[in-house]
Amino acid sequence: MRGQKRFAWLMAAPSILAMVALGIVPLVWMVWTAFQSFSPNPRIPPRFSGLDNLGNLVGDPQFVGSLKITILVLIAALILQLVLGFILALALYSIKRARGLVVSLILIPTAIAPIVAGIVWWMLFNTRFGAINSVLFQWFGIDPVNWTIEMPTAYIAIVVAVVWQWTPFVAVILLGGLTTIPRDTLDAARIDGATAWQRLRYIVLPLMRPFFLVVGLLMIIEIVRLYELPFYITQGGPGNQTVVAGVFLFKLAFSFFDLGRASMMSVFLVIALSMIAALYMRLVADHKNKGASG
Amino acid sequence: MRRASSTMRRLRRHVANSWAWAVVGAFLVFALFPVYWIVLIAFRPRDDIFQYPAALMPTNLSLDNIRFIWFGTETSEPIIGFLGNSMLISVISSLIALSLGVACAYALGRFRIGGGFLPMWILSQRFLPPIALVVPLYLMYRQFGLLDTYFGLVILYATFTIPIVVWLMMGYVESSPPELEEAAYIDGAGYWTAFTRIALPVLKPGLSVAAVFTFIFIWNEYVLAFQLAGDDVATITVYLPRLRSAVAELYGEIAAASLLSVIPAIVFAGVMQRFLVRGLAFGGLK
Repeated sequence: MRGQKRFAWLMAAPSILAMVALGIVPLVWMVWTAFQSFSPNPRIPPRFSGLDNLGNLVGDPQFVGSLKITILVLIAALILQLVLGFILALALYSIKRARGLVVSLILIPTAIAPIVAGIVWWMLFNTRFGAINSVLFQWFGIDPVNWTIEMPTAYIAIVVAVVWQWTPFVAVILLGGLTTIPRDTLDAARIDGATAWQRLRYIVLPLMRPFFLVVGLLMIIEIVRLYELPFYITQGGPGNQTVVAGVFLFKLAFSFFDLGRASMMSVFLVIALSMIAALYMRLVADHKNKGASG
Repeated sequence: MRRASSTMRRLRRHVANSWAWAVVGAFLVFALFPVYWIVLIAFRPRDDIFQYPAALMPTNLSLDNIRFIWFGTETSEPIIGFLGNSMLISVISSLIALSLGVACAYALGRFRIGGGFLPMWILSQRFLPPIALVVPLYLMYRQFGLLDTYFGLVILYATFTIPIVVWLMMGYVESSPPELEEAAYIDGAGYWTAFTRIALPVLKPGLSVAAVFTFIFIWNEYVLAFQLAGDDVATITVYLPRLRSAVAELYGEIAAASLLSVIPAIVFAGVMQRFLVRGLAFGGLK
């Protein structure tokens, strides 16, 4: 019995060591550097500066601005992803023929690298040579829109790109949820005279709750860490108005080389992400205890 | 009466189905139009690209863009080196993550070490995206001289994907019966032999799914590749934004490079769907 435990720990040890070395050590390092002041010259060693970084960060209007735009993207993208994703999941659920092929095609946006997604939407939204302005002009006679260099269209462009990339993923997870609902329950309700809307409202939606929560939390994490799409589509513009949290972090660290303040910003992001992750893991634990199939 | 109702039902199903197909069709257009556009621009000659309004249908066919990125120019290296770097790094990191991760998943799923805490701690690692750790990792790597090395990038990618492997594989370990291994112990086999000879072959299908996920994650990753490597060790995601220069509008060239870079991901999307529908929502719980 003891040999068994020892064998098991030996098997798990390399993974655990790797995660400690490149997961926990950087976290601790980050908390330490968050209280230090760095010179842009790497030869000058950093010095302890207490809570200066926190004060500078919170006092920076760009910090507040980056949180604001991140939350605005989050709200719009999350609602659209969940609503559209659920409609798509219901549609996918009702089709029987070629479902595997359709799902593979629909998942392409999620499989594409975020940086490529940024490139693609940057091209589509291009004022003079983009497809969107071409469609607007040829079909509706609308003059070219400066999508990526004006507000609020730059914001809309980012939301559209996020929704494009992640709605397929949301839909497929929700489709997985729909397939766990017993057919008998739905059939019994239909025989008892429940309309399609009533079946959806009183049977499907309550049973789908855990799936909405899980996929919603995963999407919140995706948007909190958003970087590539705004970086490529709008480059943070116009006038820093689409500098989301991730882009702001990068600017602090690798444009201004203010690594202390960037560390403080990372601490902030990690705390935000941990709170979301804690919620997710409670859901997983509950789910496991109940022994439901997911 | 009965026949009438069955006709009605068939009709209703038909209506329901055409509604579903309309929704699916609209989404397919939304999902695939950008891909179509990239293909279109990649094979469109320069003169046709810079026209307003842009032609929505194919115009003249040109291989100039593909040729530009494939052979490179004085100012731009050929794409093949970056694709090769990405392939090398993705394959090696995935192999490391898979071997370490499956051993860890087996230990957790079969022998229940670490109670409930250890699996949850590993799952929590999945929620630390590269961007949250890129600043301290940059400082660490600068200190240890790991910036811009294959080794530095590979160990990082392997570590970042281990939690995905562990959580996917734990489901497979838990759903495979332990009796076969127990029989092997009685026949005198050690734990290691039982794991490699008996458990691993059963876990193979799960491993191939996990391989797809780790490969796509690493192939698509940009933040770490750009900040911790990017000069000597430059992956395809680092190469792409480099083409966007202030000097020349390399519009078609960027499209051609993007197109070549997404081929592996699109091939794998087909493999991915089979597993996602079965439920990734709860981290591979069965």
